[in-house]
Amino acid sequence: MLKSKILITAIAVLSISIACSAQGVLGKLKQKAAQAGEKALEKKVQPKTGTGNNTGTPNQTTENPGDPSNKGGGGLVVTPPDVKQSMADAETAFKSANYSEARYAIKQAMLGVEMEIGQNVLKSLPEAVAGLKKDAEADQVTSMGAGWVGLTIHREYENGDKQLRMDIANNSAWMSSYNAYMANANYATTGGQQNWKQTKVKGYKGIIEYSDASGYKLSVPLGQSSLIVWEGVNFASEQDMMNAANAFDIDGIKKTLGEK
Amino acid sequence: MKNLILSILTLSLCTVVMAQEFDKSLASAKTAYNSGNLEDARFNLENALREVDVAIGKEIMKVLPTTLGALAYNVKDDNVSGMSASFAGLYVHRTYGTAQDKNANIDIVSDSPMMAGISAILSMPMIMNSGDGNQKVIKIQGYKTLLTKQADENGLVTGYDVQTPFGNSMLTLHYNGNISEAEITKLASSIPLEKIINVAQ
Repeated sequence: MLKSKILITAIAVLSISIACSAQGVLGKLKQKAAQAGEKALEKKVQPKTGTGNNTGTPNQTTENPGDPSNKGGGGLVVTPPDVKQSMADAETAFKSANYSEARYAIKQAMLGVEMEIGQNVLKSLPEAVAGLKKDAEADQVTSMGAGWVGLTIHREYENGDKQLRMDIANNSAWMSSYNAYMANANYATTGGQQNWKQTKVKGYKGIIEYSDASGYKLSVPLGQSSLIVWEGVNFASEQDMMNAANAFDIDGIKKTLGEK
Repeated sequence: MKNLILSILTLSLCTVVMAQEFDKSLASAKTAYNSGNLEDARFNLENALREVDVAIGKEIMKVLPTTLGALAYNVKDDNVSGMSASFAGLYVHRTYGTAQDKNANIDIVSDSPMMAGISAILSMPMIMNSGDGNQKVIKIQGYKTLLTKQADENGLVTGYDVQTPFGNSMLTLHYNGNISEAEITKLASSIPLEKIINVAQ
């Protein structure tokens, strides 16, 4: 009887202490959340109302009035890696069994090669499409050197509020599964309201989608590991969008990417 | 002892063959690049990278333990591959023990997109330490590690997965069989993580 009383007391003490501890943790969490919320609000309010220390002086920041602000440092040197030098470095590193360095150098060489491929693709794209001029500032080539992301190329065309965005993905591991999905015609039939369908651009199978919010989106896989995606904003019709896509030399892009 | 000698001889022979393959791929890449064939240059560089990954894998094999607790490694199951243009770069696989109900394996994968998921889990220990209690975050030699318990319908432990990400790589120790958390942690601690990381990165 005494034993069971002790046991019940011990359980009760334990339950109370767990509850207190949980309340403590919750309380701390609430406090942290409140502090973070206040900070976020201060940040939002300060620029609009001009309150606080941010009076627009160039050598002050909103975070801490004592910290200097950056006045410019010339940015980063974004020259693509020297492919020949990287290959030579890789050879030297591999011979001296410095495999980690060899790996880095090979990746740098691949990065350089992919950047060149991307730039070649950009050069081959038309200057204007369906009355839209290219936005040279938006041109972008991104490469991970190797791995599952691969090479991506971005180009934009615009005229007023009409815009055509083009993205090309190449040598990406996840593309093979996407291509398999695209090649399977069974996926093309859906019930209810259909906002996408299969189509063809210059003989290449693709999928065109439409949404009132974002406009048209046309995806065309190329070869084994590439995909072109066009996104058209404020295009008058599906035909208008298809005409824009048909203005591109898809065979040429495919060849430059080395796709079969 | 015989296994160890056989293993060293096999590794040495592989290293020679691998070096030849690397030289061949790099020479082809240079030729292709100089002639403006960028796609071929990239293809050959990918092959060269694969050879480098295999070389790194062989080095990792040298530092992996030959026994894990009472389990001896199976020399024939040692596997190293480089899959540079795929979902993973380097892949190293070693198995221990032969009994169906008591065996283990170590896998090391680098450049894998799966890394992000595990790293995200490790950065949220509050989430992982709750729930059914089958997963928890522990530290092995100072590295945050995800410990996942497998159990049958009666709650009997049937195995553990111990996943330690480092950089963009991940080391997984998978144990099949009934074992306590303390024992699996001890086994995981016997793997020379620091040495493996130095070679892999």
